Amino acid sequence: MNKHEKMHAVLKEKFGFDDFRPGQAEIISALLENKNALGMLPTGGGKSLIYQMMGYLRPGTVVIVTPLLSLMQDQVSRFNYMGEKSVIALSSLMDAQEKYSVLHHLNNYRFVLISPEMLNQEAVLKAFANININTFVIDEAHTILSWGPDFRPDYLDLPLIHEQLGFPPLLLLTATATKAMQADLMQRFNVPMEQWYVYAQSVDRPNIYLHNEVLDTNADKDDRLTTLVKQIPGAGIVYVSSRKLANTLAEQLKQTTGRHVAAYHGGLDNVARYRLQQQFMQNDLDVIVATSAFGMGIDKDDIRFIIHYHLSQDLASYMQEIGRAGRDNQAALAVLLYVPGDERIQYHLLDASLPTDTMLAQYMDKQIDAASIGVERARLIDYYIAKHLGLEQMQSLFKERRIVRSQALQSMVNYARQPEDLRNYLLQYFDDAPTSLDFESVGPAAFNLNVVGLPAQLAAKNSLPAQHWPDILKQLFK
Amino acid sequence: MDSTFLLTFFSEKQPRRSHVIFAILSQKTTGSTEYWGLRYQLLDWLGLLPKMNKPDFEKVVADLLKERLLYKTEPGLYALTEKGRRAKVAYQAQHYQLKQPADRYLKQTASFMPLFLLANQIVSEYAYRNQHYYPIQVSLKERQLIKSWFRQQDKKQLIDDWREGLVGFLETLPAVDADHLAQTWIGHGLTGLNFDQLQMNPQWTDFDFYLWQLDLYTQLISYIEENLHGQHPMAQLYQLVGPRSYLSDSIKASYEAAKAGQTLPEIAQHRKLKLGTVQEHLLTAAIWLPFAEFPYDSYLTPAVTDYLAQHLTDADIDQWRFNMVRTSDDITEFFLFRLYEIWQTKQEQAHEQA
Repeated sequence: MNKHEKMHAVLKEKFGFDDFRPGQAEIISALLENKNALGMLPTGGGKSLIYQMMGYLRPGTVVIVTPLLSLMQDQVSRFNYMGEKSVIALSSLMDAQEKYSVLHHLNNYRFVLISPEMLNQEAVLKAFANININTFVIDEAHTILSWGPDFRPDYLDLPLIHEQLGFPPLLLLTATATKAMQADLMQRFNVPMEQWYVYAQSVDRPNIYLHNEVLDTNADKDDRLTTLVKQIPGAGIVYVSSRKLANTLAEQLKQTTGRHVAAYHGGLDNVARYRLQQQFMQNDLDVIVATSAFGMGIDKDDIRFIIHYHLSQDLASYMQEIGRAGRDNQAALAVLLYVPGDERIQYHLLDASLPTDTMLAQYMDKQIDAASIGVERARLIDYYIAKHLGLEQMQSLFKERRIVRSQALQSMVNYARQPEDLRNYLLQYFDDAPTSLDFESVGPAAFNLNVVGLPAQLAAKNSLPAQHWPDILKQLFK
Repeated sequence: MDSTFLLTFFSEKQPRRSHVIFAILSQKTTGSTEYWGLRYQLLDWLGLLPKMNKPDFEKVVADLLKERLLYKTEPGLYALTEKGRRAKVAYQAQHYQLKQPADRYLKQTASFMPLFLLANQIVSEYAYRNQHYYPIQVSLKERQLIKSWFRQQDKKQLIDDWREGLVGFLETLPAVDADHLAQTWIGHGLTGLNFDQLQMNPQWTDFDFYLWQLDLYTQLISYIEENLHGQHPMAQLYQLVGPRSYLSDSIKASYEAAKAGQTLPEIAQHRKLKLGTVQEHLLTAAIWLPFAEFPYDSYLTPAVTDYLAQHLTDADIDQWRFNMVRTSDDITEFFLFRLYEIWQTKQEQAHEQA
């Protein structure tokens, strides 16, 4: 069997597909030729299939660096669903004994998911250095740039870790990186340019209808939200910027729209989160009101609409979030509701996430401790202290970050205020070629669901879930 | 958790050390915090919130102070204000009150719950011979335990036994509770309902719901212990967690030796421990065991109690300090002082309850 026959055989046997989606075969092929790859595929483009395939195409352990614990668990769950048992998430949830046991049997696993913080621990790194790494995958690789400098500094060490692991085949995956970001990512790794293979697809999702509205007041926005949720059929996500608001809005929408709505945020326990995800996937729930924690690991291809009640922190996040709609390639809808001044929330979050000059000075002078500035922030500063950065260097670094992130946020605000040509604004931001596609509108008056052409929805489930325990047991155990 | 819930652990009459309350709730106790837990009658709450961290706890205490629900009597010691007392009463009236706090700890209900949910899901999917599903994500250790549990089961009997076990238990509950509990379960074609999707008490929060579940699963464990034979799949599942004791094996060994009449230096010598360690073991045993099970008389001789009673005259045991009775550097003096405090406290509390 030649390489391509083998790839197709594995695709069929393990995943039940006959054909690859654009980019998948190209990237896998390059990896099999021992190249390092940067894959930029739009959200929903089937990025995870690439490293899943690698696990079956050559020996060794596929190591997947993943930013979020919840995402890791979702991925493990998906592997389990596929029938793959040789997979483990090395996470902070493990106790010392569990971790020890996994590290001593690392090469027994075909897939290991891990956070950069965990991987950056000496004992962990040593264990990984001793195994045959099939592919070293950095999922959501743009986080190296967006989170590394001021939130999760261990991301900045990934190139060094790659080196310490003996330069295993590298795969960077992202859905949202501008050309400049792609170049920045690659040059951080100590890999000659000719050993890179880059596959970059446009970020555009032509099946997603874009619609923005600028409204006068929050009351207007609430009204519009209610109307839209009532009106747009199918499953949807409403993004907001706080847990509290997620709860309030979900309750409000439940009352006013009669649809099945629930709030989803980082404060939920594991089982509650599981139930909501499954309910959403099985269409028991229509609408999830969520903070950005929701959706990264969601495997639902028929989400029909995404409504942003608040701005995202930048356009890369915005593309990620709206990209969760319409993965079945049928028409879907992305609505951005904006009231002038909404950006204050995002600026506030931005300020709160960066250490101030005084804070830096006092912490380095040991006048205040980690608890009073927040453990994460202290960890960030400690990271730079360990890299021998002085106070002034750090102050100017964070000042620079504030500027960069404010600019990114400003682009988001500008998008929200665009009077027209939404898609080309986005494409231009990501250095993509302009399109002549006219699948968008601005303003409440221009909104017309018929133009979007959403696919017909299956009739809602009529049967109410069982209420009484004898019926529930019957359903559970036949 | 609603921060007002923490008022449950404060009193308007007895100023209490916040760090003791934190140590008990998060199960990070020492001999000293356990003694104070006994004084505050809060030991039943051991380990209720194992994941709570100190900064978060301190922030809640600071908020309660700011809202004038608590006041500081001296550094680290707090009591309820009148407003705090009323808020505590109001909270208790509106929210779920854990009925079996001590059993919850001894039966390890919180560790049993995730195992039960996953086992229940696995049995349900097995009933449909379905292997294609998203399992509830649990820790690696829990997953391995469940895997070996499932492997051991007699597959011909599993589904019937499991179902019958559940029927037997649910029949012991009020119908409303049984319905609500079953509605939370996950299995084939059923995703289970979260608290806010169940039609329960609208004044409750997720935390009340958690406490409610702790009580019900504690009852399930009691049902398993009392009604199901050791080979029953549910009994085997519970054996993965098992009951626990307040006393470690080492403490038990020291206590048994003391009860059998060995002196403390003899125990220390036989068990190759420091005398201070043996004394700590016995103090821990005295704190946790019922009054009648500890040989107080062996240590608190009339001469000792007379001396201590003469020097510790304050009616409020909380005010007693070791330096009121100390005469030398002999560590046994502290052992006797603390044991006397425990002895007096237990009698006082028995008297109050009577």
